[in-house]
Order: sequence, then structure tokens, then C-alpha cells
Amino acid sequence: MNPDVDSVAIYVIQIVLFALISLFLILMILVLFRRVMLKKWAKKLKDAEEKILPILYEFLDGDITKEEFSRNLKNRFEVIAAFKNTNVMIDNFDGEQKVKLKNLLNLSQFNNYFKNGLRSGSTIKIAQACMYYEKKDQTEDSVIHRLKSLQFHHYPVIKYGATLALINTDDQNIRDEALKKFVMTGDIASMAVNDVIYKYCNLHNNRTKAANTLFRYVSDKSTPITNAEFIVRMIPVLGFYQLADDLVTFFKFPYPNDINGLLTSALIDALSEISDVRLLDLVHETKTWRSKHTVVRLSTAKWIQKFYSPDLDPILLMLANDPDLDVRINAQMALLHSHDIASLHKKIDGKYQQEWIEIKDTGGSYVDTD
Amino acid sequence: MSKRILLIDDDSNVANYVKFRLQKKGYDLHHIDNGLDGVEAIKNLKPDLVILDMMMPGIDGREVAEIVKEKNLMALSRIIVLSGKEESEEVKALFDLGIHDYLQKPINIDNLVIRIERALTSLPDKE
Repeated sequence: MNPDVDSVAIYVIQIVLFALISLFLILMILVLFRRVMLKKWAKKLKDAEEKILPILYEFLDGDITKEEFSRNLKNRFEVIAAFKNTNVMIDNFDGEQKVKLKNLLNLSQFNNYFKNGLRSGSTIKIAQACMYYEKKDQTEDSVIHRLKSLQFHHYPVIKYGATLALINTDDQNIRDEALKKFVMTGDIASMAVNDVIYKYCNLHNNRTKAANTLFRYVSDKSTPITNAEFIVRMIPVLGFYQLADDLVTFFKFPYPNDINGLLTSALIDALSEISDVRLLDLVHETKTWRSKHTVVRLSTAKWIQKFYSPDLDPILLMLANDPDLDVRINAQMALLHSHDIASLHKKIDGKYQQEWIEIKDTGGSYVDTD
Repeated sequence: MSKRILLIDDDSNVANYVKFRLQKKGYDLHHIDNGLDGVEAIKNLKPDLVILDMMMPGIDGREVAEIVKEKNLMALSRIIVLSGKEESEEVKALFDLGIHDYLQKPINIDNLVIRIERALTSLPDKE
């Protein structure tokens, strides 16, 4: 063994160990620093909230003016606390207070803070800014370009916030474009799609055009299938009954890629909600009770439960013996409408007799079929 | 003596402002943020009026109203319900439970104050 090589090796090991220990210590200090800072910020925010809330209430009661309220917002913590509470109160209160709260959003402190926030690299600040522009009476032109680019952000919550803020503009072309970009994006939660569609349709000055725009996305094969499903489910909620003809036509020729049956299920649910009688023929034509998709058989059972007719007893019996519990229960609940329960009783499979007897004896009162 | 009002609502944002507004009006206002403690507070405080939110985790407003009716806790008091729902069946069921008034959320605070004053003037005399 060469003693020189050994000493060099020991020296290298010492350096590596020293570097590792130093790195570990630096990391520890950074973590501790971050924790201390977070605690400090949380306290500052809490203090700001304690200061701002009574002043906000005084403003709402007309004890102080908007300018006097504005003079109290002296740092970013106070601006954040004021916005946080104003934002929540806009949703919770109505009447004069709501108008005053909305008006408060035009304060220069809010404007400056969120304009900078929108341009920052911080996800939280951007999300807050999107929320601000969505709540304001109208989104300003100066931030439109940035909001458009945020529709491609990797965080879904920012895509969603930016879309809502863009729909909040008074330019219908910008709204249309924002909706298109959002709806054509996959992997969006149903609640987000519902909110966007709801806001888009509510702000549209022509409900017929809004309805037609929605249906265009349903029938467009490049729309992600889940988004098409969510839109179909929103049609009755929005009261777009004029789309019933389109839905009926579409039912016969849905997407070939409805691989989970979700779109067909949504179509049954929507037409059932609209109380469209043509659903009877559609169910017979497409034999939805035989679908390989549980959701489609479930929607069929729920529809029959709502619009029972004795002619549907044979279909109901098949569904009442379905391998899926939810489908069975909904079908058995529908069978309770029949005048011939005694003879139907014998046609329920032995292994499902117990649940059927319980539903029959209690009138299904314990079952939540929603 | 100022009238005692109990507000049972888990939403602190709503509760704080309602509290601020009603205390300013001179009412003796108490706030509880859940149904279970709300029932206890009704027993102990014997309020002249209860403002009851429907949507609460655990025991919700409807269950509180049921317990109040079953135990006859508010024979000489009034309940005003706050709810986000507007289904007529639900509202009818609440009136069957003996509530005095019903207000839909989002709340119009001026309207709430008027309803409170109306409910309190209709109170039977306590002996």
C-alpha cells in the first residue's frame, strides 16, 4: 500500500464528509428559516385580519367611507386580509352589502397588488389574482393577454381561475375563445367545468347562442369525452330545453369513443330531467338495459323509477336482477309502482330476494337512490 | 332588558358580521358554531330567538329544530332558519317543526334584522 495514496483518500473522504455535513446544516437552517417565516407571516396575516374585519364591518354599515377604509390598508398583509374577507362575504351576503363589497374590489391597493400577483411566478399569488379578476365587475383589458397565457398553466386551478376571469370580460369573442380553450382541455374536474359553463351562459346576452355553443362542444369529437358528459349534464340545469331535439338525435349517434358509457348515461339523465317522452323509444331502440356499462343500466333504472309504466315491467325485472347493487335497488324501487307486485315477486332471483323484500316492506324509505 | 339572541352557524364569516350588526342594535347576541353545542346553549341560555343555519357538519339545523320541538325547548321563543336551499318541501317540513321564519342564503342583512324585529314583537309574554 502506498501511504501517499492512503492519505489522499482520507483527505478526499474528509472533504466529502465536510461538504455533506455543511449541506445538511444549510438545508436545516433553510427549513428552520422557512418555518419561522411562515409562522411570522401567519401571525401578521392574523393580526391584519383582526384589524381589518371591524373596519370592513363599519364600512358595510356606512359608518366609514370607502376612502377611509382604503387608508387602513397599509401593507400587503392587510390587503390580503381585506380581499380574503371581502371575497367570502360577496358570496355570503346579498343586497346593499353585496354591492358595497363588489365596489370595494376597485380599490387601488387591490388593483396594484393583484396586477403584480398575476405577473409573479408564485402559484398562490397567481391563483389569488385570478380569483380577484373573476370577482371584479369586469376584467380589465390590461391583464387579458396574461390571463390567456395562464390558460395553458400546468396547475388546473390556475387554468380554471384564468378562464373564469376571461369569461368575466365584456368581450364575447374573448369569452368564446376562453371557453373553447378550457373545454378542449382534458383532465378537468366536473365542478370546474360546471362553474365555467354556468358563468359563460349567465353572462351571455343571447341564451340561444349560448345553448348552441354548448351543444357544438358536445357533438365535436375532439372534445374530451368527460367534458362532453359534464356539458350534457349541465343542459337541464341551465334550462336549455330547446336542445332536446339535438340530444335525441345525438343519442342515436354518440361518440364512438364513449368507452365507459358515461356520455350515454349523461344523455339518459339529461333527457329524463327534461322529461322528454322520446327517451322511451330511444331506450328501446338502443336497449340500454342490456348495456355492458353499469352507468348506462343505472341511468335507465333511475329513469324508469321516475317515469314508470307497466309496459316497462319486463325491462325492470331484468334490471332488478342486475349484478350491480345500485342498478338492482333502483329497479326494485321502480317496481314498487307496479300493481302486480305479487307476481313480480316470484321473478326476482333467489339471491336478491332479501333486499327486494326489505325494499318492498319499507317502501324503500331507507334507500338514498341519488 | 335587551333581548337574547342565539346564532347557531358554523360559518364564522357570516356569524361575525351578523353578530357585529345585531350587537350594534343592542341585542344580547351569543354565537355557537355547531348543532350539538347549539342545543345545549338553547337549554342554558333560554334565548328569545334562535337564528339557525341549516347546513352544518355533525348535527345540522334541521336536527336541531327536531330536538327543540321534541323536547319543547322553545315554547316561548322563536326560530329563524338560514338556508341555501329553496326546495318548498324542505321549507314546509321546517315550518311543521315549528320554526317561525325562513331566510335564504346569501343573506340580506337588512331583511334579517327586519325579520328578527318582527319575530321578537310577536313573542308571547314570559311570566
